[in-house]
Amino acid sequence: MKHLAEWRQIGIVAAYMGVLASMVFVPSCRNVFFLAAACYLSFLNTVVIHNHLHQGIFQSRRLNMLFRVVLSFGALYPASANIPSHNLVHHHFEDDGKPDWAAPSHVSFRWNLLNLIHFPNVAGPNTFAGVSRWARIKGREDFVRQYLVEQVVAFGLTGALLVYDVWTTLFFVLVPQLYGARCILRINLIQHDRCDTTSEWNHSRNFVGRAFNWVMCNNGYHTIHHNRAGLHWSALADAHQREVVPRVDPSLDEPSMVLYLLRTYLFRPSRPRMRDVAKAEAESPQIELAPREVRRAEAEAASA
Amino acid sequence: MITKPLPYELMGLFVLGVLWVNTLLVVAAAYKEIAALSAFARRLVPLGANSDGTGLLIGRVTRGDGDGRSLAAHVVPQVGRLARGDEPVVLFEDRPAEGASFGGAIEAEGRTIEIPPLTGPGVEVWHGPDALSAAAACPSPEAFDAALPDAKKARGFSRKVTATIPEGQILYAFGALRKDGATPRLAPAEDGTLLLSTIDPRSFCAQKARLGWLFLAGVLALAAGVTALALHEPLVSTTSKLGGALGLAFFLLVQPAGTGLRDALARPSAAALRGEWRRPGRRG
Repeated sequence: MKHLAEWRQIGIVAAYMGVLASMVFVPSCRNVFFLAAACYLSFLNTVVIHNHLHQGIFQSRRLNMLFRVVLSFGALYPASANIPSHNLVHHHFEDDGKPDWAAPSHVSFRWNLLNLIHFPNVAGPNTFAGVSRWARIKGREDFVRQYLVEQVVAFGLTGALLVYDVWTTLFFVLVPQLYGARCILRINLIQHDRCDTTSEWNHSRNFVGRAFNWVMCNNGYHTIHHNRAGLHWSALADAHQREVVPRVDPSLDEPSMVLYLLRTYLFRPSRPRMRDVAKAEAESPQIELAPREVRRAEAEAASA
Repeated sequence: MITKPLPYELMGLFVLGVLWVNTLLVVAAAYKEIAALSAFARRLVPLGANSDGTGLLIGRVTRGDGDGRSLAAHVVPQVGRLARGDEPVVLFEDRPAEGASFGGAIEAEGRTIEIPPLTGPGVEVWHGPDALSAAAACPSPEAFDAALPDAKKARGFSRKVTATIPEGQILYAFGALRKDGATPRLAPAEDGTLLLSTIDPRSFCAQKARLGWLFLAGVLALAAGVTALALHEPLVSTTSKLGGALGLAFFLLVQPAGTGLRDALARPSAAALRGEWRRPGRRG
């Protein structure tokens, strides 16, 4: 492995696969505890997909590709889809005039809770249609091969399990798979709604709880992740303190995701208004940060 | 309690609940699209010979102040890149489209009405799909060959697809008719909308609304159908299992169907164009 901290991610995926297998093969494991654990671990599996598709866990390219296949089964979507959808499109918001396939503006119910629930219904198809178009371009043959393998394994193995035992698979494999996949799409809304995606430091919402970030492999530190996409996830907490905190609107540094979700989607019906959150960076000291078009070009070159 | 095995009947009801919540959200989103179209259609009230105010004018372009004597244009910037495969095909992706009025005049209800030059998000220029396809088509083998070098590169081949409204064209114009000068003029409506269309926007809205309602009815019927199958007694029957499997397929497919409807209902000024070039005159 490239980094010692990666054992945490491998542990998450191993635990997830273990829980799924337990529910399939051990009837007494088909209970609320295991199902809830599977759903939570499924979401963490998609977090691992995010991290792994930015920087592969292993030194070996082959192992990295194989790990993508395992992750794909866990989420019932091809993990490689993250390259065009997340690394290339989402990380650059709408800088080049192309719409972000998972932009918060894709949902517009007045009752904000419906936006949270419905968001994957829009962002998901947008993403996969966009990935399909992206994959038609010359020079992406390796991507297409890997993407196909991931789809065949993810859907094939799930399909085989459905044939083996349709109800068990539907309730105790598919429910967690789809829960995780839909939650990682929702994260786009949670992390970017009512932020200023044209700004340098106030385009994202951060969740800075220590325990939360230990489990989430520092995915709560989203601003610094966008601005320094090449930084390993284990270094994000320090970089956030150093670079983001002096420049971010205090409202975008949330101590708790649970409290934020309750406050924003359950205890208030309407969507929060837009605020000028980028004011905070105008008054802060400058820091060296490559222009966004340079970062976009670097990301595209890295993904080639 | 939490370690007691979950009854499959309970899990079945739970997943059916998820299916229905999701279906109703897709339906609600579709209804919002239909409602927006219908609300716009209600504003398209024809303005009579002596009327002013906000409404629809139907006439003919008598003067266009733009290039080639055009009144207005819908412009779609695009980037084209070479597709995988042996045959050279350039695939186009859209950038944000723009509508522009270049200024001019139309003859409607026996009077001349000035159309101001105007750009901005409120200006919508509508064409039928044939007009846009024609504007986007590869004009010649030479144009295709000239595009290829850039299309092979990461930056792609940039172009602008422009569909104009020329002099002599039948025009449907929506805005606020003002009689505060020598010649009546059409200004943007209160919400900033100025629509210049070569197709009847009322027919467009009606047709799309019908499609939307058909979609709503179809989705709800399918959801009801898979639910009925899944609940077919006994729950271990093949019919019930088939219902479960179809319910899963429905859950996965209703989502792209919903976004497909959104795209199908998009106003022509906002609809995706994309498209591709193949070398004209190639041998089949």
